[in-house]
Amino acid sequence: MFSRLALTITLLLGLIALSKAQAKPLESALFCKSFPESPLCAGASVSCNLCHNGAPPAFNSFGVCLKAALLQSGTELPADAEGLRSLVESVGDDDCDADGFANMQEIQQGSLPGSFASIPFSKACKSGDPACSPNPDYVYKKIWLDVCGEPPAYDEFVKFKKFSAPKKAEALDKLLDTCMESNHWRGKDGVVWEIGHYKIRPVGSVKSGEDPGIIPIVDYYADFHLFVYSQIDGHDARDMLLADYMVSRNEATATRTVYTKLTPQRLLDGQVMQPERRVGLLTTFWNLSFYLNYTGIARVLVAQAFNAYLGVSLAQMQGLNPPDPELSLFKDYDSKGVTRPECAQCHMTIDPLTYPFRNYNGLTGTTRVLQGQSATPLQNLANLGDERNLTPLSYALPRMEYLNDQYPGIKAMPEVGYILGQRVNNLREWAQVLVASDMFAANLVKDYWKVMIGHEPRGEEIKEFETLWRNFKSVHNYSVKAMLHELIQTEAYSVP
Amino acid sequence: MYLKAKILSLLLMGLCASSCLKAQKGDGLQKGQALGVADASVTEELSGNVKRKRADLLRNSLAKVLVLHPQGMCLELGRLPCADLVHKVSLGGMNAYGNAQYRYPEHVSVSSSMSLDRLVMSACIQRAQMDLINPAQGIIFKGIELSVDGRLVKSAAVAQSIQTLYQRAFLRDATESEQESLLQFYESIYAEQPIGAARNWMVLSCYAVLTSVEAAFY
Repeated sequence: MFSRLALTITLLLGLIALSKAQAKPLESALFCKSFPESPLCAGASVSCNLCHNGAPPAFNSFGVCLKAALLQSGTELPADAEGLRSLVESVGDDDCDADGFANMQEIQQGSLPGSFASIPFSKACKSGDPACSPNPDYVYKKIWLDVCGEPPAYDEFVKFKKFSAPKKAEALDKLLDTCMESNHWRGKDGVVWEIGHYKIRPVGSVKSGEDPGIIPIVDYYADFHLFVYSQIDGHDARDMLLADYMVSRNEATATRTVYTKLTPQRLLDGQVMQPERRVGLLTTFWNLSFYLNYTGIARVLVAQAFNAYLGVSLAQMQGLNPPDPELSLFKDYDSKGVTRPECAQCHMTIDPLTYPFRNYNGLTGTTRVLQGQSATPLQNLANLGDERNLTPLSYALPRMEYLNDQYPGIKAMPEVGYILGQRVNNLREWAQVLVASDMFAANLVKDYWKVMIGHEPRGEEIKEFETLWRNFKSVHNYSVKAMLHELIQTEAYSVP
Repeated sequence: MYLKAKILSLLLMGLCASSCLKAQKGDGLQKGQALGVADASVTEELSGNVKRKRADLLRNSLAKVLVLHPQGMCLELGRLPCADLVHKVSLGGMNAYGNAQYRYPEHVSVSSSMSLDRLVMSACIQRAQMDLINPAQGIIFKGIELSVDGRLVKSAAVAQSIQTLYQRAFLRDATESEQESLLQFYESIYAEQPIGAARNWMVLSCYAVLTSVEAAFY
């Protein structure tokens, strides 16, 4: 009897200790404060798979090691960067995943210490090895295929091969410029357009205008035009999220598509949003009607924006960086239970992200707009009124007043919000913080890296990738065109 | 049966080339040596960074190599374009508007090889037909002569056709062994079915070369 009681008590104590060892979602953000030098944190957000098998709570081998260290020391999971660093360092010399590399070595070189399949990079090329030199003939063929969309002609290739090395380098740059003019690269459904697919997420069945679907409501090609425009001809890629203008597409010839910037004019350029309130792709007809829709708080919209523009999945608890709740005025404004402890861990970050969308209206307040872009209320400026009107798809001050009947108290939600730990007064500031982040640059460069090189940056390529996106920000001033000229010279692209 | 084995051996030859192409850096293989050929014009892929040609690249490459209309070279049921619609996803493309598929598939699907077969076979049939109708203006099989019962008349034009096929497809000359393999391939086809052997050889050599790893990856 006594032994059974002792066993039960031991088990209960064990469970209590174990519960203390469970990481909170914020731990992944804390990790990058503890190890800012780790390539795992360069332009990226560490996800749960650092310590867990896929999604929590199941631990991977590294998580098990940390848990054992906590149980041994009888302490709780640290809530500060210094404490977490000490904890990780206490198992730093161990090799939890038995892949032959110590945990700390893996963290410092950008591989996962809890994954046998993830190991520190070993540079296959040694400097001076002629087999590892850039091969311009190989690059020539690849630029043709990747950017022009077809192989070169045999005679052209033979001619290129006879060039001197400096002339080859010059010819490659010229070829890249020429190919970036091709429809394969910049045209409708071209390479750049398709990079925009996961950012804009079109739905063919509701497409209106060109290529209409079965229920033609909204035309999202305008979003693609703005996106492609921001990516070509040396334009500033940040404009995709900062522009107040829209862009038209003209297939001038069979081989070249021209994009033209339009003067921002409400309705005349296809958007209902007041030009002074526009924030690039965030406030387009398509984005607000599809991702904000009738909802009061723009949680889905910000989750999609983080996924599309930062490569961060809030659903997987990445990118969590909660501000002080007293400063952010974090509350359960729409009675969804977000302040419950198990929800607040994520929503303390997510909800303040949404506050700057407070007055941006989706479809709230009207049913007639279901007729889409051809709806009568959207036919002339007089119908739209100014921001004192509850107009769909525009900046509308009465929005929260209207929603307050459905969600009492929601009108107290502030417009001031927080993104990536920074306080912002409005949506434009929100977007400015987002595009200034390392994650924005790294994610966009990664989009092109995957297109050109064929896979996400591997361990041995991480340093080269990091240089590329850092230069994209600081040297190339967010010009994709300039960045691609550097990309074709990387070892990852130019060495067969 | 024998013909199938021969096609298989040709495809295996391509596969062998691919494994050599994928040789890792530091293996110490020299160009040419890796492929067991004297000609060093084949680019070794030392880093293993081999990319699959997706649907649009396959379509455009075939259209350029064989000088065919990109949308007309392969039509399922006579009207549905293979690379742009029917086999687009299995050939590595994405269908964003219809299927909410917003990223390229990360893996090769079970139907990918069959889709590639359909696309290339259809394109090669078209090219062979056109070159047969007007041999003087032939793109690949230029100047090929046929006997009255459809056998191949051995001539320099045959060797030149093989050379042209390799130059247009791979931007390099055919090696001696590749030349010899395709010439012997005709003998196998002839042994199996003498009637129409020349046309079948044209279609199947085009098919064997353009479904090889060197053609499908880069």
